[in-house]
Amino acid sequence: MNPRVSVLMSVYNGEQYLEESVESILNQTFTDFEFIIIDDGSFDSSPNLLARYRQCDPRVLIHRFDGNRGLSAALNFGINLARGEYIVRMDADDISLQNRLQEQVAFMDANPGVGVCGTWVELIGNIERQIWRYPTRHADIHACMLFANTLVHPSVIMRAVSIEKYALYYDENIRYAQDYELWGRALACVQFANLDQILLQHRIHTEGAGVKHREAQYKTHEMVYRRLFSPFGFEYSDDDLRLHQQIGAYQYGNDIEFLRRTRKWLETISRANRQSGHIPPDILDRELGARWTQACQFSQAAPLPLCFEIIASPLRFCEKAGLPKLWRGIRFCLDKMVSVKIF
Amino acid sequence: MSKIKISVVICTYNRAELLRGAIQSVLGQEYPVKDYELIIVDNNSTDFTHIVVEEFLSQYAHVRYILETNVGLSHARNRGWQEARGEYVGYLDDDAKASLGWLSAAEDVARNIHPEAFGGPFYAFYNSTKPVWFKDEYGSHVQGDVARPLLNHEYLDGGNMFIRRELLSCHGGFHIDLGMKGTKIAYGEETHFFKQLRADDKNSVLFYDPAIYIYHLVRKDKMNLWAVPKRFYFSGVYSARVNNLQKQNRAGLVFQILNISIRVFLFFFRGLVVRDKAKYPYFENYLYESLFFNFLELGSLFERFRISSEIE
Repeated sequence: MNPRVSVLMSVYNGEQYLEESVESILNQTFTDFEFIIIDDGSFDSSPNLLARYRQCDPRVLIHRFDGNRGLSAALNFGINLARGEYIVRMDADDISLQNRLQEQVAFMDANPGVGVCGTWVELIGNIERQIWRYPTRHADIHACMLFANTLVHPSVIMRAVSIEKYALYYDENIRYAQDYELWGRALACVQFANLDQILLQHRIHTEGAGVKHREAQYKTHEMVYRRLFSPFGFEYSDDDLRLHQQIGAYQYGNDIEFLRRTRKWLETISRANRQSGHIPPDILDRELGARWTQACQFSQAAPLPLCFEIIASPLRFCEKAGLPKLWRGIRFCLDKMVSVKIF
Repeated sequence: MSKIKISVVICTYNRAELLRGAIQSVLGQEYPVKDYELIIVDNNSTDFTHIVVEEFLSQYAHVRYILETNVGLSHARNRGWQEARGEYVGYLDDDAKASLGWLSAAEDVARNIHPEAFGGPFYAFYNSTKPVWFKDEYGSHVQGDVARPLLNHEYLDGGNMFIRRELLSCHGGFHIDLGMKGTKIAYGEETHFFKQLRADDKNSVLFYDPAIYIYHLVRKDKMNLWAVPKRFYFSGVYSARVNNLQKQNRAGLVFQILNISIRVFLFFFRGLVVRDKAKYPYFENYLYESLFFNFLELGSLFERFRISSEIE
């Protein structure tokens, strides 16, 4: 009857890597799936390539849009077409490792509470080899999500029942970072997880959407931040959100003023969370501490004020672990002075 | 062949892509195949409905396809029980999905309580994004979480109801002037039937069991805030039509209409200024829950006014 899994992919002029990508799905060790490919109005050779796969594998289903309607619309359309118990996302330029479906389906079967599950990924493309290791448990993912997307979109498997029940469809008004917007909504309804295995090779384009459409992405991020912060019940300004966005994107400023604002902002979040109990405080504080530490490492501020900020803040400081806090701050600043060759 | 206990009837009109989900939810039941049959009444659809059904016909012997050319949900539902062979006829909407234990729960009620009719709640499911203000309750219908006979003013929901077949045939089924016709909004055919049932035999039991639950699709257009008053209005109109009313004092009706209109007007402005943020997180919630609800009564009053004028 119905296949257990529906693999969902949208293609828009993706001829260059399409074959590799499609074959990585067709050659999976787990075989009980349908492969829904939405051709989002391509005008290169992609339609011909797809037609060939359609002929030689009955599991492939192709639907073509006449014009380019965008990723969100294509994915929503595909989700409504899908018959499987699980919906697996895939991108036309990525490569799934052979055991990906098997591992993810086994995990979802074993954890019926989990609605969305990603994996660790290895980056490919013209950049140096790198592995993105994401937190695996729901609370950790939730804490990280406050800052930035913590799931790689094409690595995700979702439970179809949860999508229908909580209306977890992509917002078609959003063209970029639509996945982050969706996770922002879904965090309140379903459990998240990441598998601690590399199951996907994710291609990074140096001229990709992430680079070209930063401003449009920021709009979406701001929406998600507002949604994620609303259960905390605290007041914040647009400037605070700008700052939060910078911290989330690792764009730390290097002056002491930036550091001061960051400290105040992170402390506000921590306090609001302790009051509302929305995320387990120790988990969120660990995440805030990590961000705070990075901001300090990046800072070019004069050592003395920097040292003061570190010592005065109740935020967790991760450098020089094992030392008392006062010492950590002083040692860290001394090291920094050495590295900029003041001595 | 053993006796069929339940005949499930799905009436459908131009919803081929949704119908598959409804049929599969029935065929996937944890319930012995010999104890039920599935009848799909196609209300003269113009899309690919028959193709969807044929796929199942070839695989399952207990599925039947019937074409009803008289357009109208009441026609289709009547055809459904006429063709049925089970002791009870269970109606499921074409845009709904039965829960896994739907039929087993239904059989428990049929065997232990043996009511004239029974049914359960429905919960929302979606096939598109929903607006932030839209609460799941708006797309659900729950009459409490304990199994019980319904009180005199309560009725079962038409999308999830089981009725004893002999009662349907002795009352002649559903009133054909009520109920959806094609794309025209209309309600009340099942309420009308239940009223007849109760009028005929005061001891009739309409039994409600939350274990017999289904999921019902909330279409995107149903989540359009400005279409909500219209829907409430029409439910009001049909609730008035179902209540066989005598002539009423028209001046009194006009007074009530004015009263409600003014209340709606004033409450709108009060809501703009101050509202209970815990109860109505968004202004839309306020509109939906405390203003638009009045349109139900408005619809009913207008209709009564119309009926009273006609009688004269």
